[in-house]
Amino acid sequence: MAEIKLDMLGEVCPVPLLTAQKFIGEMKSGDTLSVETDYNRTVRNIIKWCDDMGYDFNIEDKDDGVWLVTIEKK
Amino acid sequence: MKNGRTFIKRVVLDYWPYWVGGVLLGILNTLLACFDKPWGITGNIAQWGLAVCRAAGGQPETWFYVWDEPLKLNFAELLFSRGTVINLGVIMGVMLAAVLAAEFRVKKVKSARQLALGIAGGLLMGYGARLALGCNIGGLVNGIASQSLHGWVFGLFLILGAWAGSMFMKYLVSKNGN
Repeated sequence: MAEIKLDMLGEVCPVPLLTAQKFIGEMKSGDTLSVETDYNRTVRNIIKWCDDMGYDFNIEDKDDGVWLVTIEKK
Repeated sequence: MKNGRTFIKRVVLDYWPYWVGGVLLGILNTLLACFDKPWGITGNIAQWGLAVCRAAGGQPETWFYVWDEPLKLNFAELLFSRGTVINLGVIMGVMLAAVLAAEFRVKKVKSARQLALGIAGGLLMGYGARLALGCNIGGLVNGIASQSLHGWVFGLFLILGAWAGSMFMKYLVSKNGN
């Protein structure tokens, strides 16, 4: 179970989603990818992408305007 | 996975849908157009640029540059002009929305590369908007709203530019990781 963490603070759409897609493509089933972001639109489009792909995800409010999205590859 | 659903509820259901924002902007812009003139953003920013140029010893009033309103080259007059007040209002409104949503924070610059990309992007957008005599508000939205062909032409090239920009972004991500 590998875990990868991406620091996407300060990055705006579509960079965090594209980066997450790039990393998850190289991961195995069951691995998790965490994306830390301060852009709320990023959280929305990652949620949509996870729903489309059937990935499980969790969102943690880390601070005012900072979220940690954890995605589990199926 | 419960937190994720709570976030969806808060963002998608509790946030205003796009159409509500669109209708509100349409009404406010109509009021502005009826009682004053249609909304624009970059004309005022260019006025500030020209005023700075003038203060530094330049003579922007002699330049050949198409302009649709009287040049204001005096800082005091410019500060209380319609464009500056509207632009400051936009900035304060956005800050208020971020504070109300408890999402306000001062973002740190992460790297010299991020700073350079940001400055380059801002310069290209600003220069392009003034060559086109308007941004997507004054050029696209109000161009189309006033039944002018230029709004549609503007929109077509805006889509082409956004497509090219996305391709460039994809290339950067695939090359560098972010």
